[in-house]
Amino acid sequence: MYTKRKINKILIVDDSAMNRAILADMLDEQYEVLEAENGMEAVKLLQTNGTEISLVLLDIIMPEMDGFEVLAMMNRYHWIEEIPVIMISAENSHSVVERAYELGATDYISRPFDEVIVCRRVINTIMLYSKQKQLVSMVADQMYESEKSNTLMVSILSHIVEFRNGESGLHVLHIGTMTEMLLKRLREKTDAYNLDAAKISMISKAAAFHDIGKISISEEILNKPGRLTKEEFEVMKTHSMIGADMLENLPLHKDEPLVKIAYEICRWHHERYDGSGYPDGLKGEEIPISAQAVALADAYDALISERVYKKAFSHEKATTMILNGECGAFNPLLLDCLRDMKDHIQEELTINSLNRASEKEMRNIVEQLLSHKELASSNRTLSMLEEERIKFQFFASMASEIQFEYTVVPSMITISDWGAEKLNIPRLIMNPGKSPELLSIICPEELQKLNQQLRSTTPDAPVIEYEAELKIDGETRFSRIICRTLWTRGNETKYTGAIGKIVDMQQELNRLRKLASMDPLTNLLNAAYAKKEIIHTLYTYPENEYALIIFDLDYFKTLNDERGHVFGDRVLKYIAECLLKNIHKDDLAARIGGDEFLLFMHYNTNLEHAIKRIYASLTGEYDGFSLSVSMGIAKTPTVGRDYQALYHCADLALFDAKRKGQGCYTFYDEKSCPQNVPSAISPIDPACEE
Amino acid sequence: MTLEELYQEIGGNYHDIQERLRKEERIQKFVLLFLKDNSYQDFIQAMENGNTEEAFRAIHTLKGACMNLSFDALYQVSSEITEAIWYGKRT
Repeated sequence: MYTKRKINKILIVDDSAMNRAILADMLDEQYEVLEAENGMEAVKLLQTNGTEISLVLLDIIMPEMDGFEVLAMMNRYHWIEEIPVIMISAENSHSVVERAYELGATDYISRPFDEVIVCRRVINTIMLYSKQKQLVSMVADQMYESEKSNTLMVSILSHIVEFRNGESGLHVLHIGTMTEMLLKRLREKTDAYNLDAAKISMISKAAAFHDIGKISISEEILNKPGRLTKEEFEVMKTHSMIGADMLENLPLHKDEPLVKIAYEICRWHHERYDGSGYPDGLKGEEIPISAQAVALADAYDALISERVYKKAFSHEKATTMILNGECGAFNPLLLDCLRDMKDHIQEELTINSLNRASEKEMRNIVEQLLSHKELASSNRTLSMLEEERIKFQFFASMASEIQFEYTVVPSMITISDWGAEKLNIPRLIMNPGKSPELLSIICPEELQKLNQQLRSTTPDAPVIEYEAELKIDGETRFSRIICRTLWTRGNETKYTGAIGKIVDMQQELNRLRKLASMDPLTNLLNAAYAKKEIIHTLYTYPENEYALIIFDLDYFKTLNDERGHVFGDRVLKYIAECLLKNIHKDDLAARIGGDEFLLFMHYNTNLEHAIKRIYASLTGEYDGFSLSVSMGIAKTPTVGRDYQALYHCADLALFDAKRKGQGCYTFYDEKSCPQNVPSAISPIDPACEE
Repeated sequence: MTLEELYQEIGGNYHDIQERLRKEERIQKFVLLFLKDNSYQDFIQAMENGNTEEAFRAIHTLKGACMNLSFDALYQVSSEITEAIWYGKRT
């Protein structure tokens, strides 16, 4: 019978191989031992194994990264809360020991190592931590279950109430969400109301009860499509007192905090800050904050929902109306909260379906758990964190991207495996500003500027895109660095680091450059690019002679009409291929119009011979169509080295060829080609003339 | 030469190491491992190069190893050297 037992992993961190060996020898019968010879390796192993490591035996004096820095890292990643650390250093001066304990070390084993002591301490510590984990887990489970059924009951009850009102069913949900949003904002602005996470959660839940009094209002009044008469309105107003009375007369549970808060809300959610509300005309802070918040949420939701007596207003209109005091007076602080939130309200309310509500609940519970000192971080939170980390690592490994994470304290950069390989730098770089490996990729000035940009972000606008030239594989590559800065949450936000990726723009740039220079149909150059290249060539090689040739397909229009444009395109492609086969690779071939082509070539002596050959290659037959071109040629010795002149003369020569009956070629000379004739070629788009 | 005799020769404390490591083969394994330790050579090298940082680390490691194996006499000496460098650096 094979019983699978989970074996605890122990990480031994010490630069002395002998120390590691002695400890490993003592422990490896009962545990799986991992070894690291400096802090960096230790951190790497912790990153890969996470909470599978049950204990760390940590030395202090080590190269690369010492024991204190390892403790700092464990604090940063919150591993310290799950994984006990026993220091095994020879240093036992008071200040050193104290510092280690402050950083979260659990225990100290002094040297020289005694087997009995080591084994006992290790097992005691592991057992202690595992018991604690179990307890926390149990409590978390209980809390979660009870919260869940609580929420469920309240949810069902309020839907029953709403059903009768003919409301959308989301009203209760919205009130709860809005109340929570308002109170959370309020908490950030002032401590005056003693709002902790538990209280906010309770108020948001109790908000569901605010209209239970409506159960006793008659249907005619409740669902009247028009305005209520004065008497009818008086009846309607009684729903607050009725609801409150119902709660007060509960046989059991009426002293439960939830019920007490529900009572406040029920009775006073129609009071107004200036005392003009009902039923009791309470004023200002006489109204409990729970009722104040629900009142505001209720007013808002009433405006944005469709009712029997009115249509739905937009979120903007609702906010404006309330802020203008058209729905009664509210606590100015609460109105400030509303103003702050107004862009988020719509989003929060729309994404809140029933399913998400319980996810939200869970997050609330987690937040509460975290705020209770005794429970610190429960297993649930940490395993959620672990999961996120695993997901992140997996996606990072799948994406062939250079992804990185930077932390301010300690100052270091971690790079994805693929990225580190691509850039040929280590995965973990301490003190990036001074690292020679990093500075071989990005120059110090750029790094400085990037750093400045990062520090100038804010929690609300954390994303920046920075373009820089990086040296990758020895070549300069134009890249874009996209980063998101990270901030601590809470009252004072502090910049803690950034995550991001590097995108190679050079490839994209090259691709776009190529695209811009070509004609997509034939893969020859396009007119604009050809012109640029020709001018450049003429200038660069003043001693060479060139011919500029323009030719077009005879009877192309007829071809298109008879055989269709698709066939026409195929012919053009074919012509282009023939042309390319018969010219030198240094010659420039372009398509400059529908069926018009340009060729620019260098020649030594026998231009006529070359022209004959090229011309011949463009005749023949293609799929039942006889190919025939008319061609005009202009030479630099005759015309000069100005592009416009060459072009114009070739054009004139082409016209002459056409005049002679097509299917031939003509060289330009002043006598035979008259100057003032219309161009044979279609006008070039002025945009290309750049 | 037995382990006990060795310890006597080099001024070590056999009784101590016996108590701590318990198993004789374990003691033997680590004593032999000690021979492979380069700390002393590293120390000499570093001193010759004038690199006090490295020297300190090397002699510190040696001191630790001696302590682990109860090589008391050697431990005493390394300890003194370690202190000397440590305080020498401070002044």
